[in-house]
Amino acid sequence: MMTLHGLPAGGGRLYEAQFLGMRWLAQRGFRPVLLPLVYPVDGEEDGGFRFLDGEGRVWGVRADFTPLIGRALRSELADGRPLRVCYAGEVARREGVRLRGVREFMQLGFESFNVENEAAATLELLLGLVREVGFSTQGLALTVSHTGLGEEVLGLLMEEAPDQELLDLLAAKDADAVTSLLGLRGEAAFYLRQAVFDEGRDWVRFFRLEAVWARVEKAAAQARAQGVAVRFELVPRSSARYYRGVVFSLWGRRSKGLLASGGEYRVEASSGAVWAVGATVALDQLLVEGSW
Amino acid sequence: MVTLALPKGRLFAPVTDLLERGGFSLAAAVKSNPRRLVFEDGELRVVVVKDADVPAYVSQGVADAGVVGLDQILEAGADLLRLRRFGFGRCRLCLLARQDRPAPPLWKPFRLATKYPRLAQKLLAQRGLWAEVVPLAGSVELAATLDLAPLVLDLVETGTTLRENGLVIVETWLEVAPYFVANRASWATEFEALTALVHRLGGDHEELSD
Repeated sequence: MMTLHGLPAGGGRLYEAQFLGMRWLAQRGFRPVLLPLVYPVDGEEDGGFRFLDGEGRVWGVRADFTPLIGRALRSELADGRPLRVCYAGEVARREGVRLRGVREFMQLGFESFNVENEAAATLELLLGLVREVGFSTQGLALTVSHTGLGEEVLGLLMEEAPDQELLDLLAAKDADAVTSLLGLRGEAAFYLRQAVFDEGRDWVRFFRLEAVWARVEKAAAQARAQGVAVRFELVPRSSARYYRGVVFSLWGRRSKGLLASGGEYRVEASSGAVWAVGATVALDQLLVEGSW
Repeated sequence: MVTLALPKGRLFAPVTDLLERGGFSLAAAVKSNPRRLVFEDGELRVVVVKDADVPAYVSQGVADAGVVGLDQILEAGADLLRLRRFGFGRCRLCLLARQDRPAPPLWKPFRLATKYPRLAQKLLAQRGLWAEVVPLAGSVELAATLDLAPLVLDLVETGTTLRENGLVIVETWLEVAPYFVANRASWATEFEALTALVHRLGGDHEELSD
């Protein structure tokens, strides 16, 4: 079915969701910001497309809002006061990992800067945003994790620092390969598997990670309270390398796609690194999930 | 209901045996209807696809889970969760050459024929080697026998095919095992069903022998 303006019917729904979401976030104190679609690249890799202009300069196409916002607000963040912004627009990525191959989609998101320990509040806001733009959160599932947990666990099981290959195996939940490579047996193998497959919580005490776990659990409880199933991941497979702290992803049961993601991270202000937290909804994917 | 993608190739028989031992009512139908591709019994849907296609069906969410060898997982480069490594169907990905002449030196660029062009490039880079990779769809042994390439990279299970074609193993590059793989979204949204399925199919995790 096509609309009067030649867009597929879903196109109108997409713009409506974008408008509703931005208005709802603005009403909650988030300042809408506009960011460039193309910009000169200075070497940072963001998974986006690159092209040359007529004079041989390299330009990038927006692949992710979060790093661009941090950069644009660098001097404004220096005074240490909390700053909250929201945004919406299209992004394009070279690889559509976790989005069923989709490379181009519309993001709607929000970021809070100069704040700490707001992961649970951010999740509450994210789920509220999904509902505000017209979708139910019932039946969705959240994976939650904390950056560095995999390194901590492996660090307790081996003498040298874990390499990327081992961390990749953990991110793929290949506990059989990790236990073989490290020669683990008995309790160590049992609790590693328990952590990897989310089949209990005794591993938290075994690996002495109670303090970090408390932060993860606080965020998870927020989602559970809103009817969302929650699973824990020892090593998140996040495309965004900048996260530092609690990270989460929201998954659709029907579309088998990634609907939203976010977490805590550090961003460089002109006065030094500051804490931030945010979340982004992939509106196209949400539309696919909702239209099933 | 979860959907499980099964490979048509060398893993088909042992995997359908697992289904049978796991008490799935559709196991007999899967085993006795080699031309049928989709089976369903109310608790499980099974789709039978080419080995190389299992990663695509699972990573794209058409199937929630599947059984596939590590060779195909790495060749596809797909983001898959590897929830269980099975004890059957083990083999090796080996660099092979003709038995009747010396293998070419590996420190100079060489031609390499394989069904795994993407994985070959990765394994070459890990070893600091250069090669022109010649992608082939099958019968890779012929490439060495007929001098399409002096070296081939292929799976070796028992070594019988090697011997019959006058080839020898130069080096072993990868130990290959079959895996129960899952879609990342399905693991989150169908956790209980997938966990139950992997336990029914796989029994206990493999244990290290003393």
